[in-house]
Amino acid sequence: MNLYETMFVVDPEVVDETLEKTLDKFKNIISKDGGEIIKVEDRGLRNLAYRINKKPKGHYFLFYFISEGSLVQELERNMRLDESIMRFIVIKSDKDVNELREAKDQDEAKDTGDKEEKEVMKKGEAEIKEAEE
Amino acid sequence: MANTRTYRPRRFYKKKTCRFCEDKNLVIDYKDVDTLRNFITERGKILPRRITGTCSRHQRELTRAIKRARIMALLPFTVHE
Ligand SMILES: [Zn+2]
Repeated sequence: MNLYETMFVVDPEVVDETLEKTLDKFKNIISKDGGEIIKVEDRGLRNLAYRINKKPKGHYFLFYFISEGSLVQELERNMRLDESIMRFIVIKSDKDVNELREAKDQDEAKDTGDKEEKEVMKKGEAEIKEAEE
Repeated sequence: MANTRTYRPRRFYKKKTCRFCEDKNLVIDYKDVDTLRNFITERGKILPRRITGTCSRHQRELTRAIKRARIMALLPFTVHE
């Protein structure tokens, strides 16, 4: 068993339930054969350094998980076949598992309190954008 | 007297050292685009060791991280005018 990380970019047009389904599919692949997901990061919609399929943006995700090496191949095969995945990488991580777990717990604890603040920030960003245009 | 030239230090010479050997907290990670950007040109090409002063081990790790970041569209392959 090793600690791995996978970063993947989802087509920004894939949202809501379809996005959830895609994420669940990968989570299930990792969990089913004794693998364990340690941390999931939604890194949000980001500008790509270059266009992929004529799209300037992508939705970045990062999973940390523990599993056997054979599972990595299955995950990679599924990501390759999924048309909503614009880019992906699966590599061994040199992060500390316990630190990741702690960071995850902290994130979850503050999640509820942050929501309101995030909404306000989003609004602020939208206003700035409008002002620029 | 004839040999003084050979031993005279170059005037503006400043010894370049590997940033990653000097600061152990500085890690090389394809996700850390801000750090990687210090090691590429404006056009997106990887800067050679002789300019950045990076040691060969860390240059190898840097190259790998930059290539991964390019694949993930976190960094450009090339920047066109
Ligand atoms: Zn070094």
